[in-house]
Amino acid sequence: MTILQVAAAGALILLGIGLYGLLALRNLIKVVIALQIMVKGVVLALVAAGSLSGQINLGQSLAVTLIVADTVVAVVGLALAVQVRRRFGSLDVRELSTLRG
Amino acid sequence: MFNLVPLVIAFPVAGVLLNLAFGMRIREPITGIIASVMSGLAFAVSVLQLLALISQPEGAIVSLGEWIQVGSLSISWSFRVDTLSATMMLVVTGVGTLIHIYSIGYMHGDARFTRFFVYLNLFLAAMLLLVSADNFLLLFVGWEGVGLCSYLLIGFWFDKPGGEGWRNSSAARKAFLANRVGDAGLLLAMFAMFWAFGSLNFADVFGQAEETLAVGTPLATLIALLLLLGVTGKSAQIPLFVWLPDAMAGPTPASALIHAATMVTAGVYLIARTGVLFALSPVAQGMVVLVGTCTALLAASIAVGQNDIKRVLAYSTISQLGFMVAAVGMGAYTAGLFHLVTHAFFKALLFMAAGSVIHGVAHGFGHVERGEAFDPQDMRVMGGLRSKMPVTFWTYIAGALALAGLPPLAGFFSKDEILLAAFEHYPLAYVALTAAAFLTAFYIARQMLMVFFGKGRTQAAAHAVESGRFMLIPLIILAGLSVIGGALNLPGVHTLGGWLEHTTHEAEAGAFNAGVAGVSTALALLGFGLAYLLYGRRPVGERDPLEGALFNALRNKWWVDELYDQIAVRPYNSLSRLAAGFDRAAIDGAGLRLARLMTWLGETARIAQTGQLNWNVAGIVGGLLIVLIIVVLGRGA
Repeated sequence: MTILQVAAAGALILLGIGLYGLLALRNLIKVVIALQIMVKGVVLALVAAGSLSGQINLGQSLAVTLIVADTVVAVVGLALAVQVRRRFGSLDVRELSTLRG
Repeated sequence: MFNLVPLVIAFPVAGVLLNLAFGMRIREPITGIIASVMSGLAFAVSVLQLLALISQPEGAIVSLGEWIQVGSLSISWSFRVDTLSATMMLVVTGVGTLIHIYSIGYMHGDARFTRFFVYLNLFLAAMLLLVSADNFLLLFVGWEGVGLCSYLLIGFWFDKPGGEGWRNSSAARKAFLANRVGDAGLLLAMFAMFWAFGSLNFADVFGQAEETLAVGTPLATLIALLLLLGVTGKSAQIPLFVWLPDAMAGPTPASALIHAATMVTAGVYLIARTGVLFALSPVAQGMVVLVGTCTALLAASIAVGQNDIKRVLAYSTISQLGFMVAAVGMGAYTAGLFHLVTHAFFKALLFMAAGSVIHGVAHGFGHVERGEAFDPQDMRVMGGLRSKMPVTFWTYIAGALALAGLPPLAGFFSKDEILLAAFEHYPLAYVALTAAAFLTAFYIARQMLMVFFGKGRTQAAAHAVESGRFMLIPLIILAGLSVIGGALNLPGVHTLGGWLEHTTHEAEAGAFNAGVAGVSTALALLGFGLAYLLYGRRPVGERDPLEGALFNALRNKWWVDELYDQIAVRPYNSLSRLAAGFDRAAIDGAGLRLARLMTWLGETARIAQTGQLNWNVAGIVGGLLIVLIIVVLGRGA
């Protein structure tokens, strides 16, 4: 098993865990964490893809950029979670749907 | 002079507009006076036309420009002045003006005084359009216009309490529907004429008909019979006469103007105008004579059994219209139109005098007998009014004797010309019409005896008062005309015959026949005598001296209304209910079911729209998977 195969398998597993978390979890903070896990899988895939195509620098710089962007996502997500908790008194995503009909 | 003819219509229209615009702001009699003045001006213009025609009897056609221009159809606003239309104009505006003046008195105090005069003026305008039109479409506009005004005036008191308002508006609808049937006939006749001759102008149609159609061709018969259907509707002939007695629900001046003197004679005018077409079809002419004769006899017999003062006159009108229609059917246009003119005088007089009687009796009732059910039109509550209402009485006598056809009053000469024409061409019709003339004398004598003679049978009759000036002056003028109207066309002189000859091309002028005149006069006197024996010597109470099976049939109008109810009204109502059921179940049902299906689809699709984050993610992932599968499979293929 080459290092690349390990990286691909690791990326798929991280994506799978994140996806399961998004589908199954109700707590908003856990949802943000699940999203992070998915994005980490993508970062791993980017680095592996850079190595596979021989453009290692490009792959790594994309990965760094994604980490920065992803951090912003996490921050905004957690800030939202704080506001949601304040306004609804709960972090349960089911209680966020105020649309009735 | 002829160019002034549009003014005949313009004046009543101006009256309508003036009263519509300012009627609410000016006091009661003023609106009536405006309407009467407009009517009088129209009469003045008609007189000018008459003077112009004396020097130029072939008349003229005055065109105001195009109205409709589609393909080969060309209709213009053109009016025809000839001796026939001028005669009608004079009758309509002359009698109409008198009735306008009478109405000022009769409608005094009515909440819708102004509206009544607007309708009357509108009616005059439509009627004058009808008689002065130079093509069938313009005539049809007037024809429909008078029908509309008739409807509006019959239902004028639609809001009277105690179910009477409902009966009034039902009568109006009945009149309108019966007229509709006739109007459909006239419309179809117009279609047939346009199809056959490519034009609706009188001159073109008559010219082409004479050139291209032989006597007795089916087309000529078809057109003439369709025209006859129109005539039976407007002129209240069998089978469509049932609306006219009910039309008495309207105010009495409207009955006098529309349902006695003018509108109902439109059919007679139409046959006289389209005489060329009827001359081409002996079958249709025979039908016209048959319809007229049967109507004259049937209606005269029903009039004997009625107790409502206006209903007697209504059936009398139907009967007299039958005389006129029979006359024009025989080709005796002069006789028919002569009777039309004299009938306009004496029947308008009789109606307005009856209105005066009703007014007087209702007034008498107002002073006594409060709170009881009371019908001021029922002749059984009257009696002895001779001394209470002397002017009404004497004018009534003039009208009644003219109607009965006693010499030398107007009705004698005109009715005798019709009987003479029948005697020469249609012996059977002569017998029937003479019988109708006998019945006419009998029922009018019965009415006079019940209303004016004997003693007042109720307090209301005993306290009746004479009507006011506005009502009596027109009565006196019309009484004078009823007495001397025969001078229009005296035997041997034939002023009217020579006058109409320019338009109707009727060669023969029947010679005076002493036998025919003698028989009808003797029968009229016999009718008077018989009525006196039955009604004059004893007071008439609840029980009629003629009481019996036959009289019962007459009182119930030979059950014609019930027959129509069975064969037309009920089946139509059933059909309507059926159609309504189909409409609700199938037409509306289809829409409803479609709506329910859509609702169900929406309810079902709503389940997917939870608004939950997890479900949304699942949706996104599912969609992504589908896209991926398509891409991967697409590459493989």
